[in-house]
Amino acid sequence: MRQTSIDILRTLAIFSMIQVHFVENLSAEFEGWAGLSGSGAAPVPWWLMTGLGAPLFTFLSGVSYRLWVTAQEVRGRSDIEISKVTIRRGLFLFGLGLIFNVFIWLPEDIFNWDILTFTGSALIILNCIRRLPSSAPLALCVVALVISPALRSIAGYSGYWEHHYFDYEFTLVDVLLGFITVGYFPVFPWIIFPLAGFLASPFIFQMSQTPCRVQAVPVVVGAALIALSAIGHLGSKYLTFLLPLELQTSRLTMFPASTHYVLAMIGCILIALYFCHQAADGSFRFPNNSSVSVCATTFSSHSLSIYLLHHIVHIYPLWFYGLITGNEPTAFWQNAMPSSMSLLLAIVFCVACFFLFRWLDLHGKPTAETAMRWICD
Amino acid sequence: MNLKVPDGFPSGSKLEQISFRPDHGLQILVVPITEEPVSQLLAQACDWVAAVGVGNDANKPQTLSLYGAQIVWNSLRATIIAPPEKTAPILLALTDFFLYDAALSEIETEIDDAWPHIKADAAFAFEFSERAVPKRHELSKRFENTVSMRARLARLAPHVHWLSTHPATITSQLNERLRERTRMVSRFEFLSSQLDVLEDVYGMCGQRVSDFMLARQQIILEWAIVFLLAAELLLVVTDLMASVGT
Repeated sequence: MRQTSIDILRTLAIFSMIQVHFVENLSAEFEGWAGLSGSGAAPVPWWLMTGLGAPLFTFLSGVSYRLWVTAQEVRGRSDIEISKVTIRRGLFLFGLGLIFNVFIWLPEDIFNWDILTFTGSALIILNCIRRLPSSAPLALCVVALVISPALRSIAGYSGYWEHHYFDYEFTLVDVLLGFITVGYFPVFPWIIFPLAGFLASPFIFQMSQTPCRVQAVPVVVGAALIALSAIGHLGSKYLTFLLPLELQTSRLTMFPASTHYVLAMIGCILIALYFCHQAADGSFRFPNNSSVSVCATTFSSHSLSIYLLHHIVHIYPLWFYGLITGNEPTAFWQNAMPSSMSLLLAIVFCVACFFLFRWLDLHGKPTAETAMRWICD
Repeated sequence: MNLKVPDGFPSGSKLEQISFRPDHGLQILVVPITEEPVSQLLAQACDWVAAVGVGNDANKPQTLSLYGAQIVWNSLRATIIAPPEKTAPILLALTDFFLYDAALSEIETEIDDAWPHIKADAAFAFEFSERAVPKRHELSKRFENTVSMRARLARLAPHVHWLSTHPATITSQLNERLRERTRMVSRFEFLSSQLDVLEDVYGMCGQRVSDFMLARQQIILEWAIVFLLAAELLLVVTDLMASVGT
């Protein structure tokens, strides 16, 4: 059964991702931001939802996976069968991520470790930990949170990010370090998001076996994490003498995902998902044919296709235009138009996407999701 | 507690209410007779007793005649029609009997309630898994109930198997007759064998749960160690790779 709250939040993550990618890839340099890490000359505008999409999306992948596993168990599907499907899906996403990198970011960026390869890896990791007691994934989260800054420091993170994007050599060491800690979405610390979603799912959706007696536990934990993040932020700002330079990340940065960014995002998402679930799945349950449900379901159920399509739609014209005008294919990357124009294009794309995927659903046409299910299930 | 005597019974009759537990009690109507014809009073007593427990076969009035005393009863009401000198020992015997009968009925009801769960719970007697962890409190509660029922049944045993005293008295005779009529000994044996099954299942469940929880604690500790070692290994490998890369 679809949970409207998850669909709504996933739709928000998709909107955020489309907006940020369009604006970043078409206008960042044009506007003088020099990348969305915020370290450019001009500040990133307030309306750009940076740093929201990926954590929300990966957290929700953990939540959905837990709900999916529970549903499969209720249907009497065996553990081995669930594992096989999960691993096949994980490998499918991982492989698709590499192919996507080759075709969108050109072959030299095949191992930039984007969100698809990370989601594939996360699915396989979730499958490994799903039968363990809840304390084990929790321990893994804590370990990942603690060692991630140290890993970045040892690997020399800043050496790979000199131009505000992940720039690696085509060597085994760089490829492995990119996957572990220095890529766009490395396992450390990003694995914390799907793990946190997996752990939080029974508390938020009050599954029958939930040992939780206090319903608002997610809100309390979320608030505590935000508070911890704030304390960490202040601590790393004023107690710099305690930490080596590489570990000092007083800013809430997504690249790299700083410790207090991770804590704050998990806290915010926990609270948002709890209240969204209470409202959308509880007191204000939207009918299946309501515009909110239809819109959220359309975007949420085609998130993979939209992810692939939105890159093709806004990156390929850049590459082709660069080639046609006799420049490098990447000549217009981040330098094509003003941000207002790219934002408008993002909105147009979202509207077009809605009608396109509604049409595909109504006529039963294949999408990336149906291909995944056909291959993996 | 004395209540208002129903209409139609001779003066001197009295109605008493005895509570065995908050939701179960018994009304006993004591009708002392001297010369009156018993048949009329017996019919009246049957009607009064039958007025409760409509539609339930177990509550149909039963009659017993002993040494000139007539006793009509079901599980909720009883009437003693007897010469005045015999009413006191009969009332005592009746109260005594109904106290133990109510305790036995209570265990019967509890076992009937517990029975539907046994099929689902029997699986946990063989294997307990992570998914079943939230059920352990429920299983523990059922085990406690089973032990409690066994304890109460054990305490009832001397009263159910009580042998008549010599020389026989009206109290002992009545008690024996009532136990025969209500098949108390057989019911006790049935309950005992049913409790054996419950005890076996929930005893084994308890054992499985206990073993699983102990192993689980060890597993959590082992996983914590594995994660720490993995983290250390990862740091070392990253350091090694970084130095190789440099």
